[in-house]
Amino acid sequence: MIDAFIAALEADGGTGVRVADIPAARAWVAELLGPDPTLCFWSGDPLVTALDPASLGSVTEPAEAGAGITGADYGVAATGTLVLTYGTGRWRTTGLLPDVHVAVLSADKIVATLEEAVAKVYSGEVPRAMTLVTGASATSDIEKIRVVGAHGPRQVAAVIVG
Amino acid sequence: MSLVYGDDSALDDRLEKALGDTRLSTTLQASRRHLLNFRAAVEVRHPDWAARVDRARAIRTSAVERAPELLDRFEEKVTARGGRVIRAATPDDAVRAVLEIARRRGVKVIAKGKTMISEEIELNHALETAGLTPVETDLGEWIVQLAGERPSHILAPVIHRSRSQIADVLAVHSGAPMDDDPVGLVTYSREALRSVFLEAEMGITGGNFLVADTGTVILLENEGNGRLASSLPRVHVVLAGLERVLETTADAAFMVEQLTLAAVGRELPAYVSWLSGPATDGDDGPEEFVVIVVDNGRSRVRESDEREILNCIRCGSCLTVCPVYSKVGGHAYGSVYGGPIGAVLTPLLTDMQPGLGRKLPFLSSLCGACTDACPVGIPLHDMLVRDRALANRAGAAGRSERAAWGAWARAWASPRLYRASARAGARSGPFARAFGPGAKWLDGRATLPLPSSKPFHRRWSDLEKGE
Repeated sequence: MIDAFIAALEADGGTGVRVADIPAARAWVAELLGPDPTLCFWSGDPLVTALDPASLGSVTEPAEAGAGITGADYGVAATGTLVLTYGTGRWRTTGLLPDVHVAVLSADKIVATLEEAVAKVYSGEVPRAMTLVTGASATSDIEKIRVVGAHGPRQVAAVIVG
Repeated sequence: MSLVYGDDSALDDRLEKALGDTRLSTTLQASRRHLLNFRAAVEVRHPDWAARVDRARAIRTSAVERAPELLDRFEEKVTARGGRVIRAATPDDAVRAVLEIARRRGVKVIAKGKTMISEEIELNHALETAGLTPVETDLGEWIVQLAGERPSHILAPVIHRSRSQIADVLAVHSGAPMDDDPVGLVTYSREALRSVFLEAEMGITGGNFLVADTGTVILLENEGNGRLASSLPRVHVVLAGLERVLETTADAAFMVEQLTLAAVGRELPAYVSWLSGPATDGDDGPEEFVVIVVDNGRSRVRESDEREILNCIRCGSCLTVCPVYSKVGGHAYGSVYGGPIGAVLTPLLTDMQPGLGRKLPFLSSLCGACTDACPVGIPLHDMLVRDRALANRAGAAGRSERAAWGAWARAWASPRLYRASARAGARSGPFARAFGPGAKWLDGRATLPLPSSKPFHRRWSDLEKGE
């Protein structure tokens, strides 16, 4: 199912990788961001903070950052979709304003279908906001030609740990 | 009435103008082929497509049937989480509600996501009159706004313009010449609109679905402007027609995929936002969350025999596949909703009033391509026929025309009179060809064949006799 998730995400122009542990995840993200990146991250997500993102670049506001690192509640294997809910330390703008969105989630969070992910999220307290992210921001408004990077991130990467 | 911006009396002129635009029809034909191709691929990936359409139809029929009850539940849930639901019976009510919020909060700049309801209630005009600055942030809608036009397709608002015509519009905005490369045009727009998002005190978006059980507004998009408009400004206002309601999140998950498959041939768009109230402490979302549920004639349609048209989920497929739409485009219809859905819905929403779209059901060859394409199984071509009857009964056809067709219907219901009319037709054929309505209709492009001197029913009975 994890392979299916990565394949679907990459078919939509995203990048996906499965790593064994936190250090491997941290190394992969560091390589993706390149030298001296500006970034913002979810301080309310244990998996994100475990990467020690502050040591990967200069931390700044989402509107100024080149990359945003978030967690994800679930990943949907059928479509390569990241399911994000928000709250304290889990800001909406982190994975939205920067050019690059990196989401870190553990392998046991990959589910088969959207209906399954939605059922899991809504079985508890209703989240104030949830976003399903499938690939990069895009538009086809000009002569039906698909152009990536309309208003949201130009690049989406998922790091699956475990 | 802002739903209809082009009077029926000028319909022929609009059609004539549209038919003269060969670039438009080339673009629309390409778009039609594109949709037919990706729909074929969808049906390969989902061999149960017919069953999916049945399920979608059942979900929507039940939701529209129980809309009042479901909307009450939706309102209760949103309110319990600190949001607000406003019911707007008329466009004026909806506009007033938006202006009241804007004044109270001292709003100046408004970031708008795509919403057809906003067009329907002519919100931008009202906001500008009140001294506010509404900025459309969907790329296509922004170009349409800068050009002082109206969207011409539900999903592809600026499909009527070529890339160089779009570059011309953006060149005026930037004050410098603009290359017509789509990537450059998108990059320019992204940068220009990013500052609007950061500045705007209010975000206004549409809502594809309203989920009753959880009080959730669902918003589908590919660009990210809906996410930005619903996250950055301190107040987020949603405009949605009352028929957008669904009962459960399970229904919603299925319908989100069904809508996307029909509209673009993918399982999901880039972003689907599920919004259930204002932000909590520590979340950077809006502190005020208001959903304006617009009626504007929908309750009357819901209580009529034509309620199934409210099942529509605005995927735009019926426009794209329609042989009439794909020749003339959206502006020719003169209604916010063009194509088959617009031709059925517009005169129902305006209650068949003269001049307000009741000629639109006649813009169809009744080929049924719309019905085949509909992901919720609305029998659009049947509804077009019923709309025609309703329009004629309401007076779209003059008294003498109705009398003539009435007499024809009675005559042909009688075998004796039918045979007599066939004989008369055979004898008067040459005159009809030269002088009658047939000559005008054909306009010299072809020759009307003459009726046979031996009608088919006589030939058939001769054959049966073994002659």
